[in-house]
Amino acid sequence: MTDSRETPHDAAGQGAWGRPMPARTGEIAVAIALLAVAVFFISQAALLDFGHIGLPGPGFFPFALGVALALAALMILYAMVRSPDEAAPIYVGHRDVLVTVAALAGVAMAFEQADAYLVLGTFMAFVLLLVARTTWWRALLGACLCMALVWFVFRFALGVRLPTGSFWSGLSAWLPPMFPVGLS
Amino acid sequence: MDAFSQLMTGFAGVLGWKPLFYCFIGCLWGTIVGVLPGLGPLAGMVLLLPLTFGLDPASAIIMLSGIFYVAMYGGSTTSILLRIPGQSASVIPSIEMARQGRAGPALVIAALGSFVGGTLSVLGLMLVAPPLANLMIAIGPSVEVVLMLMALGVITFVSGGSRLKTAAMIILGLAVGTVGLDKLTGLPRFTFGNLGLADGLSFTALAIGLFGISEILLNLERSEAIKAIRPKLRDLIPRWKDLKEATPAIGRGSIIGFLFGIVPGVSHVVSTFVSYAIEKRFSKNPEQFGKGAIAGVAGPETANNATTGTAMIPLLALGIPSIPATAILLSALMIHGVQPGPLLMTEHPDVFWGFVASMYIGNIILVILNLPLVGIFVNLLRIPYGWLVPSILVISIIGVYSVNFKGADIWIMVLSGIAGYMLRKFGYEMAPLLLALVLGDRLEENFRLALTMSGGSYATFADNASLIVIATVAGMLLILQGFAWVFGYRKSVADAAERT
Repeated sequence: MTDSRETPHDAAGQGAWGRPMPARTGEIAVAIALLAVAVFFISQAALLDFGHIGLPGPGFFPFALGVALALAALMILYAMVRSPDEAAPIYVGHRDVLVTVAALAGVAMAFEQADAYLVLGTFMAFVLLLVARTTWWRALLGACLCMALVWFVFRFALGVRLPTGSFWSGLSAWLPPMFPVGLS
Repeated sequence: MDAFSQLMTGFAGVLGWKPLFYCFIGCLWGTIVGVLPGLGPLAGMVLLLPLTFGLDPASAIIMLSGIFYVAMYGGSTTSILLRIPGQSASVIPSIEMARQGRAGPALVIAALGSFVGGTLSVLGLMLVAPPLANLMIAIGPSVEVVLMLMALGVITFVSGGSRLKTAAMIILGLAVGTVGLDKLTGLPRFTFGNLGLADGLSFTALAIGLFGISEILLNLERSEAIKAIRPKLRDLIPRWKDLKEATPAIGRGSIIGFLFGIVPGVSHVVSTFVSYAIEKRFSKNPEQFGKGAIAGVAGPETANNATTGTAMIPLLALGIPSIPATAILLSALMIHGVQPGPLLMTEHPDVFWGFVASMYIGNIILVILNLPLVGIFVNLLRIPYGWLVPSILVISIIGVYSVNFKGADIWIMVLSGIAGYMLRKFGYEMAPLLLALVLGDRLEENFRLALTMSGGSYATFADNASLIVIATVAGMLLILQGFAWVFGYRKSVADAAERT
């Protein structure tokens, strides 16, 4: 079995699919993103009651923070634009990171729609297969065992009810009554 | 009732099977996350935070604080046995001792130092927090605003990275904290008609995303083969000479850790480096530092754990977290309807004294778990990281969802995880953001309240009490700057950050 720690990627995060990005370009991109957040806060806070300087309303604090964030972002931007691009490039787009993020986004989308255990089990198997790079049957076994443990800890011991979604209800309507389904 | 009898009441409450069980679980999880490279005390606390929602407040804080102080030590196990730095605070413990085949004594001295430092700091917490809380009962919202601003200012000042980036993260945290209903007028802000956002963005989802998910994504990029040293029980026994050299270093480390614990932001990192520098100055053989000097392990390790108790003082006496770990504790307590601060000791003495008593017990559990059982935990390092990732993520997802039972919180977790990952890649720290996020609400509320009470006069922020607070914090900063000048800790912190 191969594990991601044994695979000699690198410490800077290049790995498979990793693309180098000049550090300064990345810094400028982050500063612009911060500036965009600041502009969002300023524009939305301007719609709220500002009050006055002695008796601030609900819009005062977010507006002031938006302005402060914009100033900080502009200062970072200024410093980055003026600095020479000498730092080592930063690698983005590592394969394992992209796979994990995509899997997480899938869970967020399907968690309440389908059965939570089914979604989490699929997520587990997917990540084991593609990130831990294990065999499909180990991934499947690992996912099943993990879901059994999750059910025991969260549902049985802690009483946490996870969403069943429409998957099991649809399945139980389709199957004959002798096969009652529904874990959660 | 005096402190001693209150403490006895605390012990009576904690010595039941339930609090002891949660204390043990916290210490066990703390050891696990401390030993596993890449998972620190903060990520460990954040990941287990949702599981505490079903507990009573005392058990919740006992479990979470157990993770905190035990994981602070667990990082040393990793750095000693793997000969690589674990947590930033345990960079110093002499990896060289392990290289010389003396990993066992290094582990024992580190554990003893952590035990002594941790226990003495709890004693300090017990003695300092109640009188400080009594003093703070009289303060108004204006002083509270000054205190919070000073705390955030100090974090920016002592930050190991770029101060401008730290300031940007603090402002961002405060801004994100304004999402939801305005506390004073009840008007919605940035909710866009979505009732789910009325309570603001879920703190748990943001904290797990910013710390837990971003940490996992960053770790996925690192992939070193791990070869751990497996010391036998008999190898653990230190020599008499080691103990003799370590004892004064442990004493000095306790004092340094205690004094620095109260400094917001990076107290344990600062105290560790200052302790190392002081030990080197005091040593008769400074050339041995970096080549396996036992005092270089004992002092910093003690200082590291001695900060854990004192870091609780601002949280429990003032209600102001000084480091991210105490911000997590604050959030856990507030979820349980307990407001840390001057009134905590009178309104919830069971929580405060139970917590203090549990820290004494937890420090004993730390030694038991980390010395005779160290071999078991080292085996954890054999679990491939690729297998740990989905397991941790599944716990995080369920944990985040089970707070409010809202699917949107999972999205918040994922998106804040991506944002945290990108920000951390470019040198932005998440700790100031988290602290600002926790403090933002109260800062705004007290700021507006103070102005309303004073009839709109900003002079209220410069009354006598505020000036005393400002003078005290400024004095502390001057002392800290003095230490920084003498020992150059900022350079050491930056060097360590580069190495990790």
